[in-house]
Amino acid sequence: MDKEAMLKELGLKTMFDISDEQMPALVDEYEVFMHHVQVLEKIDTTGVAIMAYPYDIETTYMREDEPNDVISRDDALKNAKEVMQNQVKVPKVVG
Amino acid sequence: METYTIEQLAAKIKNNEIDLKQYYEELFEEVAIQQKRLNCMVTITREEAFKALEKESGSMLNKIPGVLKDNYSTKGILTTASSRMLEDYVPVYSAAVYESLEKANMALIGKASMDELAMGGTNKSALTGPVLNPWDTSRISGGSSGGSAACVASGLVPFAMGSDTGDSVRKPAGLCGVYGFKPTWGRISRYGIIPYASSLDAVGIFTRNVRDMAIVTRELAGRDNRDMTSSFNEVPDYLADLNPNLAKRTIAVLTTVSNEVRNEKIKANFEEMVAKFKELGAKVIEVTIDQELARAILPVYKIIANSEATSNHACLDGIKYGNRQPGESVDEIMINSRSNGFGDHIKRRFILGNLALATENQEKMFRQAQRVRRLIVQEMDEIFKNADVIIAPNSGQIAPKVAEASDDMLSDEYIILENYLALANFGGNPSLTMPVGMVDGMPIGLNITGRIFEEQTVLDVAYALEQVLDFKDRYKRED
Repeated sequence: MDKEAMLKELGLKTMFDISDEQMPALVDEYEVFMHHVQVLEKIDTTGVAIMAYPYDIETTYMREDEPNDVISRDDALKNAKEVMQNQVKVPKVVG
Repeated sequence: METYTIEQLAAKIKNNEIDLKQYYEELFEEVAIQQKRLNCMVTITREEAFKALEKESGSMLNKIPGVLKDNYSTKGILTTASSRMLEDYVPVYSAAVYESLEKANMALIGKASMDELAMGGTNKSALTGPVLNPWDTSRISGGSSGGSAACVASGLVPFAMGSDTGDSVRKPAGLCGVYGFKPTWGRISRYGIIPYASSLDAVGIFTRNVRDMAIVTRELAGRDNRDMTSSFNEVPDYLADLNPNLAKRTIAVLTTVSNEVRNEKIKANFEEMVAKFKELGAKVIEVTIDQELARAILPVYKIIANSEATSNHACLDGIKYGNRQPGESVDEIMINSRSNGFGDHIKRRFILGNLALATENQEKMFRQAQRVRRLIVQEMDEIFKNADVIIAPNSGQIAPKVAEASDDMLSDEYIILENYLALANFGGNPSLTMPVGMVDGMPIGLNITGRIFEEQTVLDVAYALEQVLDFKDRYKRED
């Protein structure tokens, strides 16, 4: 698959419709991004663990399964653009 | 109108030496003037500010004016993150920081402009247009917390809140001539702040001097059960404990960064600051980090930040909230809403973040970046074995002209010098930028970074330097 087709597809997976006008800038940024990937590929990381957070966090534990900070249904729907019968309205999903 | 520090205004309020109604009337007249000149605000919250005048608290921030970056959720107040996607979004809850500030009875002046979703360093990508630098309106404020920086640098407020994922508080602070502080990752709750990249994001604060910085940091620091990454560590009284004695301090000059400076005036200023630290009695050592790793800071940052951002913002789909565009199916609504709701640069970053997270790429892209991140942080930790803080110039340039500013430069100087501030995000370190000079009529900054949870040391070192300079409490305002 060529680069543009690959990026177009990846765009759709990210829920974007990338237009023909937007494509050249995306290709340029992709090239820069792949240059970044190459810089990292050259670094020997054998035996190095990933660092997902800046330091070991002592606060990672399962909290009690108790509801907190509950928002009301009215609040939950306040910013939705289409609401019907106390639910967010979307086009039919199941045929 | 008069411009005060937090301490000055708090003293006047306490001693009944100020007519606050008149002060706030004048302040909002000035806000209108500076907004026209700098375009620093998204929303001006006059009503909120005057509400605070009817209430009391025992905090030093009682009735003190402040500003929040527009990615802080504020219940009942528009919160756009400067994105079309959220242009009419009104949160139903508040960020922990805003709750703390409300409890302290701070007077909210407004919500400040920012780069869209905090993803940028120029503040040119804001939905409401670029924020201009108070010192020269043909130049940028820097970003992504540019509106907050401009509000403090124009003397409208003594403090403003920002957020810092790579340098988004410290960079604009330096370019606008104010103080910008990113405390340790986990020191202040991020609950309710619209995220960028969760493993890097931190709350940041702008002020015009160190004492005010200590006050705001103390007010906000501490555990919040709603942010599982917030720390249980005890919070010191940063203001009472301020100690400018550097006799037992070791300051490391990061020459890997400072040697990259090409601007002779900025170079000379930095050498002068190093000399001042020596005069103040500190032990000054020169340190480096591996050049290959230094050149990897930007790649690690881009890959991790974009990947985490695309994941965090998958919720912005136009269905539950946000800019909803029509479509025949749920997928089509999402694609149309997201395509319409985000700026082109945001779309590109999300797509490339997704590229690095794709199953076939994750190991060599995202996870490799996470491994190199560890190697870089290990280099920093080695330095901190022998030094209390690391210093380097905040930037190699003064604020660029609006037309020339870009996030996408790849020169050698730019690669290390203009991106190294992300080191403190990789390691979660407290990191402060302070004004230390003027070059061609524009402010320049120095960055001071310390060990995790040693905010006090960073503030102490800044406090010592502040006292032998003449750059605290400066602001620039014109009609």
